[in-house]
Amino acid sequence: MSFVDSLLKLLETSGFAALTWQAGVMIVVSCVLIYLAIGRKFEPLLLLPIAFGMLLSNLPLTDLMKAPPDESSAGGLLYYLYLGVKKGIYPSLIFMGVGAMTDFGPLIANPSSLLLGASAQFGIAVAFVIASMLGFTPKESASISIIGGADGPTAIYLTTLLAPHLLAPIAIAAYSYMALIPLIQPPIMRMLTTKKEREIKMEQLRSVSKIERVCFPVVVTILCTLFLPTVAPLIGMLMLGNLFRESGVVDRLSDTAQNNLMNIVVIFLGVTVGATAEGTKFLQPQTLGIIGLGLLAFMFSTVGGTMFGKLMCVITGGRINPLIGSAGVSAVPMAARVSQIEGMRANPGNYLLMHAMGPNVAGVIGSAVAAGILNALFGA
Amino acid sequence: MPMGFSESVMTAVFIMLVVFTVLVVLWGLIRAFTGIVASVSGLGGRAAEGKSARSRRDS
Repeated sequence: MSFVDSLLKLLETSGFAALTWQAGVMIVVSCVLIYLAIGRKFEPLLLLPIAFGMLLSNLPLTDLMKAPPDESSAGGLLYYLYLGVKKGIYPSLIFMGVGAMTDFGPLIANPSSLLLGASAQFGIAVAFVIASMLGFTPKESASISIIGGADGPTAIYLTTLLAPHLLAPIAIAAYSYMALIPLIQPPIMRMLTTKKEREIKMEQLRSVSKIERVCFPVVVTILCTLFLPTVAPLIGMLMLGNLFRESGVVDRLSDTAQNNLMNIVVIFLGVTVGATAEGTKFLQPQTLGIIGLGLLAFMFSTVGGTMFGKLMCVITGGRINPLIGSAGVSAVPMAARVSQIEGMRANPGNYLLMHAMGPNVAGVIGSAVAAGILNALFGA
Repeated sequence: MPMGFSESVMTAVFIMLVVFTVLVVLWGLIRAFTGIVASVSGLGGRAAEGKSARSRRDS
């Protein structure tokens, strides 16, 4: 065999020969996402593993996501890690970490925030109708519309149950829009409110006793699970994490849930969700539809929250600043920060952050409840 | 099979209705619970005040 023949044979067995144009495009897309995560700091904790997972799965002949051909053989590494997504384990564990990190005090101090958290799920309803009109099946429409809840783990959880073939575009759209909240929300908030409304200073919240903080996760778990048993994995884990935090007797568990465990699960979840974005499946016209619908869902959720904030402003005689309504989308704490920034822009002495945290954490509960309803309606 | 317009609108309304119902009930529960905690701690506070007043009187 001549040197040239050997070189040709080597080339034929290498990944270069098996590289398709779709895989090539996806490799470029993953490199752009890696840049956005590192260079522009767009949700880097999730976008970076997602982008790298996408890169790995699109490199030819790696078979990282390949199922084992028979019981005696081994499958790809990411195939096994992906089981945690497929079985709904990772999103629930992330919810436990979120619960351990979240202070529900502002919500307990001002429980009417729950109404703002509910109204900011409006985008889910709008996106569901539009997705159905565009020809998506009810399961696909439900999975796409949950992007409007602005909650990554919830979107992943519901999509793996209802439309796993759409997981990659939905997860990427959800996390991308969460990162873009500071760009998406402010124009809508300014358009829907007057300067006078944005200037409203809200009264300081009362302090919340320990017994209220400890009882809150137990009450929420019992109530939500009795109403919607399908929501138990998300709400149950969220509230377990919060009980770890508020009980004050299991600091080690609370610390593990919000740090080590959370970080490990985020790595597994991000890499495997990214790995589902294989070029041949991802580069479809419907991906553009999903990304467009996700943006609409986000925008209408902001509209719903802000409009309900205006309504509450009128009902309370101007004691509530409508800007806190937009924080009802559950991207914690990004959406609350946007309310704070917009409030300060209108009135430099305006501190809305703690007031906006109430609707913000209510939005987490609201989007989990919405996911539970969609799962109950369209799940197996 | 995609849903028709009216069916999808009804489903969307139903979703929002259930979300509101669950969160409104939760709101009511939190308010009720907060009220109970406040009244219990208020009673406890008044009892403690009464006790200290009695001990001052006795001494």
